[in-house]
Amino acid sequence: MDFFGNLMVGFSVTFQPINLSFCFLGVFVGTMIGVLPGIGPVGTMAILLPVTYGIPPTTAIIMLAGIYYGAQYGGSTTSILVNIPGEAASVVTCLDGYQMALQGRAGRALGIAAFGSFIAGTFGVIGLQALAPPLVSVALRFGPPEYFSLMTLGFVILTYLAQKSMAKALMMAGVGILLGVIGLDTMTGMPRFTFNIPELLDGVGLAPLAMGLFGISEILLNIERKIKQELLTTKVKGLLPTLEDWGRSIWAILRGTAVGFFLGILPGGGAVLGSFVSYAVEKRVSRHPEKFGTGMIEGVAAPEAANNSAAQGAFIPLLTLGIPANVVMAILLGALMIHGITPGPMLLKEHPDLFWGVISSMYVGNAMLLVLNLPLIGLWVQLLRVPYPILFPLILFICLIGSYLINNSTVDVALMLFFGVVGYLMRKFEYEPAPLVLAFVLSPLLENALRQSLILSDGSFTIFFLRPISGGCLVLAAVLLMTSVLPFIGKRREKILKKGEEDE
Amino acid sequence: MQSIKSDSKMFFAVGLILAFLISFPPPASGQTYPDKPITIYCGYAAGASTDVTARALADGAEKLLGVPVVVENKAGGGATVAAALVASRKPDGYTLGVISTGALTVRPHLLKLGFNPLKDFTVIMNYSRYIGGLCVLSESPIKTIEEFIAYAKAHPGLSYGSPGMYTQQHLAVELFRECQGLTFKHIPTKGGAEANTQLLGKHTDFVAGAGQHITYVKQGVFRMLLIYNAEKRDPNYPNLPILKELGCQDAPALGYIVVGPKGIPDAISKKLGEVFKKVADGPVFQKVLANFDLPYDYRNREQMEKEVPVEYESYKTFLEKMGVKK
Repeated sequence: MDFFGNLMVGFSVTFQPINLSFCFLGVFVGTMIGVLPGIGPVGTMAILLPVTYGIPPTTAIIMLAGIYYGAQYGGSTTSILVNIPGEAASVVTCLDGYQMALQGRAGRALGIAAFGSFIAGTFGVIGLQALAPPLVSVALRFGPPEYFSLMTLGFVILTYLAQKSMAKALMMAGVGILLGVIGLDTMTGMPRFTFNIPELLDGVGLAPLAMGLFGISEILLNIERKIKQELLTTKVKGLLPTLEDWGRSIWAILRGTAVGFFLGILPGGGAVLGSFVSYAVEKRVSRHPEKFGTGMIEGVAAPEAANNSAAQGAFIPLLTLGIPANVVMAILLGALMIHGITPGPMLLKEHPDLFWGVISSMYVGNAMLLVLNLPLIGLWVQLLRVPYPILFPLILFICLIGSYLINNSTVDVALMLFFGVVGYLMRKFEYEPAPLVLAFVLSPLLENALRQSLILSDGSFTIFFLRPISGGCLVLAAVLLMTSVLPFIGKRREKILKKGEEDE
Repeated sequence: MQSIKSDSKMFFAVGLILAFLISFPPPASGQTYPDKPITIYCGYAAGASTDVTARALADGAEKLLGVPVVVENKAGGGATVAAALVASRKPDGYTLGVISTGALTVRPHLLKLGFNPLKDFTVIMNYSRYIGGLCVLSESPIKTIEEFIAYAKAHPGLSYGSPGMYTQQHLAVELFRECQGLTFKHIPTKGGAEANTQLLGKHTDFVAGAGQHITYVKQGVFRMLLIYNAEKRDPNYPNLPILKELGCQDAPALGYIVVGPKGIPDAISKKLGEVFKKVADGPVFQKVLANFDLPYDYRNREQMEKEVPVEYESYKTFLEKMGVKK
């Protein structure tokens, strides 16, 4: 089938009333949690995972995906208006967005962020649609050694991009792999590290882990932080960017889209990286790099475009290889598995309606978001006025109920609280939770691939180096590891990553 | 005034998520069974014949019981992963498993497992038998099992995927290997689906098909050369030899079964038995079986309570005789 034929299949799925309404629900909730600091897409999707049991898989994925890219839109609102990034991927938007708001140009900043997101989101979906099918045929060439090496590369990229220490991120990935080992050995069926707790036979649940590390810990941290909760303006005017704004932004948006999309595909990359890099790119190509940070509209347009197209790009490794590129994709993988769908090379062939339905729902979702974020911006602004003493206990409450509902089990609640405290301490001591969660999800895949490869090679590790794709991934991983050790480049890496952090 | 008004707006928005969350969970307990969702652990990965049939059963049961019946894949260890999980759950009829009888009658002889195969389960019904097939890619020049044997003799160490270590498919291929004097490399996977994908990607040389391979045979992607776990030729493939015709021992066929933990109240297990029988007899389920060329082989709880210990003992003798059991 051709490009448009596939699109028609997709739209016929997307426009079923149930899918349309869950798509709306997804982008709505996504925008809301994007606006609200203290809860991000990972926590939200983890909480809503049990809800997807009762609805068809395509509908479930459409909704969960909507939350993800919806949050990329919503995140910009808080960055611009309050200088608090609602989302990690919107950190850079604060730099110029808040300055624009201070100068009374909040409306135009919000406007260009929404339009930029829409343009980037749409191009991102087109890219996803065009690139995924050819990549599927490549994906079949991935056997156990290739999977192992690609995942190893993913870990290295993820830890390389860690905002804090790379060594600490590697340690967290190690902890994640170990946590993933808990449960029954998939080759022999023997229980491992279960301490005779029957609930642990099934392994540690992803949802309690993610909710604890991302949800609970975030709230604990926010409690001790003093957050200035003041809005610059209650009325936002002039959302439509002027012709001059467009002239300055359009190329920034397009560059941001391309940068974000390709960085999104990289395992371990994702929206955060895309927004940082595209900001750096804009600063470099601009004729007035010194003016960045003082309210340049390009500095809002590019990263907002990048984080949206990256959100679409990240679907590619999940839908073609079955490997989640980031934590959000890991949760989507979990949702697909609940419904008995294994993402990977066979997905497109066996579930074309799901594949194209989800993709085309993103066109529709992006259009919905544009409507949600421009005329309804006032509603989201009001949301920012919720006093934190009400908001935080509420989120805590939702997490507690959510974790219990997954299996009606108090073990999950205990696990979530445990990981909440662990997550709080981790962040206090600057250990990032993202590598841990991603490694946790990949751990069984990694172990399986490693053991199968070693059987294929009669126990020889050369199999990972002699096969071209696998060897290439490992060499790349080694180069990355080495450069981070070299003092000159290592410092540079820190400098690049610090840039965003200082302004957090 | 302004701030109160906006607060209430906000409450409305946040309340929306809450309401959404709370409207879904089922009531925790009640008098009549079932009043909350039922979970079925499937012993193999998504897409495997066990998975597809389990989902067809779940769909049908959901309509008859009026509560969601959710299939979760707990693949690995030749269905012993799912069996161990089922055994560890409360016998309230809300957690069931669809597995191969091999998890109860074969693997316990070969591995130390975390459950007692004869004491920890209530078998609700048996609905079919696993019929395995040795397949190569259809682009392969190998057309018959004789050609395959000749090729394998010339190329020792061909690799193959199976649905797990010590599954009946693995045992059958190993018996075939031994009796023909060949050497193979065995790659245990989490289930038929993964083993088939590895053959599709040419990472292995052939596959010890367990059920799902039939889909690929019908699509013309795989060529089946030999049928095993069978006493006589398959009426769907009358031209294909069975393992016993080659003068080799075969691992006896095993069943697709629905199980629950030991101690499910009689009223509940009876209700489940009736519901699943009705679904299995229905045209939708029969069509699913036919898609995989699977025989319909219904046996109820009483029959299975007699047959599982018999199969357990006979496999024990068989494995000792084969020298597999240590």
